[in-house]
Amino acid sequence: MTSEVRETNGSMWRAAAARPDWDAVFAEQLPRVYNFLRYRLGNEALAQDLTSRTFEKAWRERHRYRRDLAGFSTWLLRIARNVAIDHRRTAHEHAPLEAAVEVAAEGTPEEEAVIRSNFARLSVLIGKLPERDRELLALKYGAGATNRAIAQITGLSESNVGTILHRAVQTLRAEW
Amino acid sequence: MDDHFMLSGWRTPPADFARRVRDRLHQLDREAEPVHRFRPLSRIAACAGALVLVVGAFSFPAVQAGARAFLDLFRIVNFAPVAVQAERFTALMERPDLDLPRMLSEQVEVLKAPGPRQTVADTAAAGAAAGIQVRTPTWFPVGLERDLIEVSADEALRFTVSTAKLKRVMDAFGIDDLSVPEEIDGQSATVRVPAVVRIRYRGQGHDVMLIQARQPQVTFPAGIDLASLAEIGLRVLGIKPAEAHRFAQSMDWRTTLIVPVPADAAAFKQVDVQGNPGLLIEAIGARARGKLPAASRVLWSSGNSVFALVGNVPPTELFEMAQSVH
Repeated sequence: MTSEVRETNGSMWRAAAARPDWDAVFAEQLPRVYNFLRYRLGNEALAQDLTSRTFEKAWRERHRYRRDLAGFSTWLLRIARNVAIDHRRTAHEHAPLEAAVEVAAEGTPEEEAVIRSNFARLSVLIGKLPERDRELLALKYGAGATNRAIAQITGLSESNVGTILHRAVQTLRAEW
Repeated sequence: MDDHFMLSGWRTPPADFARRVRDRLHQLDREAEPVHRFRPLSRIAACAGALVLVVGAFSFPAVQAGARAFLDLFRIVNFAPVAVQAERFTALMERPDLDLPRMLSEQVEVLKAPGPRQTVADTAAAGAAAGIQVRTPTWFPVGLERDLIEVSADEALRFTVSTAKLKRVMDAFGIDDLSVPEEIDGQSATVRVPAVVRIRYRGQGHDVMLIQARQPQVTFPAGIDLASLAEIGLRVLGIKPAEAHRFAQSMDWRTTLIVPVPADAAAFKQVDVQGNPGLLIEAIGARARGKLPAASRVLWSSGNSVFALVGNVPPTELFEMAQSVH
C-alpha cells in the first residue's frame, strides 16, 4: 500500500536501518572473505567451504553485530578467522596446497596458467611461514585489510602488524 | 616480490560458488520465517479480530502509552502500516453513537478479566508470572536503566458479531458500495490475550518500555470471508476504495495486522528485527517542533511471541535496542 503511506526523512530511516543489508554485504564482502581463506589455507575447495560457513555463521549471529564496536568487515573477518582456526583445530589432515590452483578461469588460458602457477608457488612458500605470519598475510593481501583492522582482529599492535608483515614479505621475496 | 605480486593471487569468487552461498543464505532466510498455524475450527479469523483491533488502534497517536497499542499487536505476525488522518479518527472514536471499538459487535462478554498489573522484582519473577521466558535488551542508550517490571494476567473476551452494528458504522462513514457478509451475523469470536510483561527503562529524560507476550489467539468460525471484512476495515480507516480493495485481496489476513500510522505525526519503515518482520514507527511531530523526541516504537514478532518497544529515544537507538533483545 505504498501510495497510502508516507516515508519521510529517508536519511533517518537509512540510519535507523543501518544494520547490514545482506545483499550489499554479500556482494562486497564475499571476495574479501573468500580470498582471506584462500591465502590463509592455500586450498580452493576448503576456502569455498569455509567461506560459506563464515557467511552462514555471520547470518545467524547478525543480531550480535555491534557497529559501535567494530566495522562490519572487521566483524566478518573475525568470524572468518575463527572459522579457519576451528577448522585447523579439528582437521586431521590438510588438503595439499596445490589445490589452491583449482580456481575458475577468468582470463585467457595463458594468463590463468601463469596466475595458477604463481599462486600455487606462493601458497607453498606462505605455507612454510609461521602460523601468525600466514594469518597476517592472508588478512593483508587476501582480505585487503588495513594494518589497523588487522590489529583489531588479531589483538596485535598496529606497529607490530606492520613489522611482521614486512619481515614476512621479505622472507617470501628471498625464497621466491 | 612486492605488494603487487602478493596481490596477484587475489581473484573473484567463482560465479557458481557465489550463487551457492547466496542461495544458502536465502534458504536460511526462509527457514527463519515464522510458521503460522491456525486451529482448524477457527481458521483463526484474525481478520474480524483485526477489524476490531484496527478500530481500537485508531487511537494510535504517536505518543500514546504502549500498553493499549500492544493489545492490538497481539493478534498479528506480520505488520502492514497504513497512513491515516489521526484527527478524523480521534473524533470518530469519541462518538458514543458509533462505539467504534466494538465495531463488529454489540455483545461483548468478558470471559476472564486481566486484573490490575502486578509489579515484580525481576525478570525471573515476571517470566514465572507470565509463563514465558522474558527477554531483555543487551544494548541501551546512554543513561537508560531498568526502572520497573510489571505483569498483567491473561484475559479473554467473547463477542457476538452484529451485522446491523457494522452497517451502522459503514453508514456513518458513507461506505455504501460494499456489502456486509451476512453469514457472520450472530457468530461468536473469542479473543484470548496471554499475560503481558512490561519492562520500563528510564534515564536522562528518556522513557522506554519493552512489552512482550505470547501470541494471542483469535478464534472465529471457519468460512468467513476475511478479505471482505478487511476491505470494510480499510475503508473505515479512510483508504481509497480501489486501494482498499486491492490491498484487502492481496494480504493474508490470518497473519497480518494493520497498524494505523498517523499521517501527520509519524513515519514508518518495515524492518527486519533479528530476522523477523517488524515495523519501526518514528513520531515526528515533537521532533519537528524542536522538543525531545516523541515516542517512537518498534513492533515485531518472533516465533510464538510478540514484542513492542516504545520510547522517546531516537528511533535509531530504539531500533538498536530491539535488535539486542534476547
